[in-house]
Amino acid sequence: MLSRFQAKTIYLLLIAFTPVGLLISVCVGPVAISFAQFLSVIPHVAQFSPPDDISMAGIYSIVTDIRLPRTAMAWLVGASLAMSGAAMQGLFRNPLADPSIIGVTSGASLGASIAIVLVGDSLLPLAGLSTLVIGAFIGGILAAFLVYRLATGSAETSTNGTSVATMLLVGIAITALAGAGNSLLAYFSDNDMLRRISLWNMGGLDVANGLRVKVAVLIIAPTLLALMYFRRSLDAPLLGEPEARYLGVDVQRVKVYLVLLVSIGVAASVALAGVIGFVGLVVPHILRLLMGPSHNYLLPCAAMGGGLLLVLADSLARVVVSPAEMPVGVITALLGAPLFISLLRHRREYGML
Amino acid sequence: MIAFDQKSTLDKMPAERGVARPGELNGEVALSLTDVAVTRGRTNLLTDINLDLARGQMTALLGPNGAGKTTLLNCAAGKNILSSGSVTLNRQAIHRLRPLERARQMAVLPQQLSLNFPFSVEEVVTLGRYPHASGHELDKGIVTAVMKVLQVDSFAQRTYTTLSGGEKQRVQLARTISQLLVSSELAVSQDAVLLLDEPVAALDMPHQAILMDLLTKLCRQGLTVLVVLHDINLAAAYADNVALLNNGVLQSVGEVSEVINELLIKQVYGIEVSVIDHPLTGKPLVIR
Repeated sequence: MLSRFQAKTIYLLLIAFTPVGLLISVCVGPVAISFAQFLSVIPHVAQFSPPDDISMAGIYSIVTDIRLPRTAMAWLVGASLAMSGAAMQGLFRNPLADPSIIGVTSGASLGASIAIVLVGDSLLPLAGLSTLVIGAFIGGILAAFLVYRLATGSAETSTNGTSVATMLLVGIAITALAGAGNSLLAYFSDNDMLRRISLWNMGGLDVANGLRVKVAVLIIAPTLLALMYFRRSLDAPLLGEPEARYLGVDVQRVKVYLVLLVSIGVAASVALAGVIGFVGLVVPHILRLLMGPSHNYLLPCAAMGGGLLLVLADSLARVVVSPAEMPVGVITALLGAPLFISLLRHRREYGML
Repeated sequence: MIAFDQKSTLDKMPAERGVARPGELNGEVALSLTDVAVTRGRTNLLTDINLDLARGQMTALLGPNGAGKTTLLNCAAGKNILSSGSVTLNRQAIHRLRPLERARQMAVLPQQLSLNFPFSVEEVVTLGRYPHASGHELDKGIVTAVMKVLQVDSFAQRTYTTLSGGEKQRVQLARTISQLLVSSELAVSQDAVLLLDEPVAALDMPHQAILMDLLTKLCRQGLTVLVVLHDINLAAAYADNVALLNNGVLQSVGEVSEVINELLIKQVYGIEVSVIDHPLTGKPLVIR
């Protein structure tokens, strides 16, 4: 028998815990902020006016300049990665799919390396964003576009439009190609550049600032909402593409929009916060184990779960080796992997492979 | 064990020359293939297919392996593989119908399905209600009723991926049939067409009978069925019409008693058989 929770229960639990997680993230760090301090600073934050009291003014600026942007960005990036992962696993009918499957991550990585090695970060900072961010975003989008075009081109003679299997394989090829480009650039770069490349590849949210959050809200939030629109059309394709068509799903349209939305959302996430693994692959699986694979609840829960995981992981990353910081990807893996493994051991029947 | 409706086939006009267009026998045509040909490279998968399915009739599609049965079914389902010819569903060109419009009139169950996501049985059956905005209440009623008839209700909460082949097949049948129903009393929508590709291959005898009885019952309400079968006797017992396909050509289309005879079977399958009358039903019975 199926021993899983009602999807709605998980959904409501996540809604309840999201504010708690956000609060923890705002209060935790090298400078600990008590709940009482946080409450007293809230009215000032809402009115954008720093308090007169000196110590409270310090807390105010920590909250507004550092913690809030960082928390917001962590949530958006985590939500985007996990929701995109859930959508890609569904679309590709493949449990190993994650957002990087359409080449976004490796493309962004290559874009970042090109920006670091060939362009140099000081050159042409557009509207305050570093060339690194812009290079990574463009790289991610270009790679996804290339994967999509190649997969569509080779399938033109067949009736399927864009073949998902071909897209998977082209994605692997493009990832390998971008990896080769990355290695080549690393080979020709000096020590400083190498360090920056590898730091960027580890990912981290310490770079969060007001401007980056604005970019995240403007680009990532709309893709999350748009992905929600497809939550009912994603179950039928799990039966297979022709079957989904027989059920009335315009599979080609769903594919085009999903790939577009995921590549924009993930490229922005990766460009802003670097490569953060694990969230996009494992959060959807954990949720599917707990509540079943129906996307109607899975997509919003993945967004909230991914957001929550990254917010909490980032909080932990700030305190475990304080005042230094641990790369957040290390924490997400340390938190999520044991949980995932124990769930898998108790649910053999899950076996999607 | 095997029940069927003898009367419904007896009061029909005999067809001429053995190549009857069943649709002409009974007024309204639900699904029509006209001059359909499918060519892949230099191979003709289907040639010169003309097949009309009359509303409320069950047509069995028979033929040896590789005859083109699945290809014909795909054409009928509106897959865009036709080299020439046309397919109309309820008098509309099928490729012009939007996916949702088509899904409300026609349900298709292919031969092979690979679903490896851990849905519960009930969730899989409920997918059949996707094209309809009929409300949770009615959907639930229809799903429950169909699951009960096909006897999958006892494991409705089990995970689909853990089922046996025959159980999976019944679940998929329940999903496909629930796509065409309008009430929990198993009333079928009036323009419904159902295409099934070897639906009984994995089923044991009692469940074959349950399925075929259900289809017969739905046909009497106006459901039109095109079903690929391998068991000629099963087709003879239940179908109103038989279409015999060989090498991509419709060898013969017509009522059961006209198509199922020793000569045609020898011609198409290359084996010697005897066709006798079923002692209880009077339908043709093929024995070796």
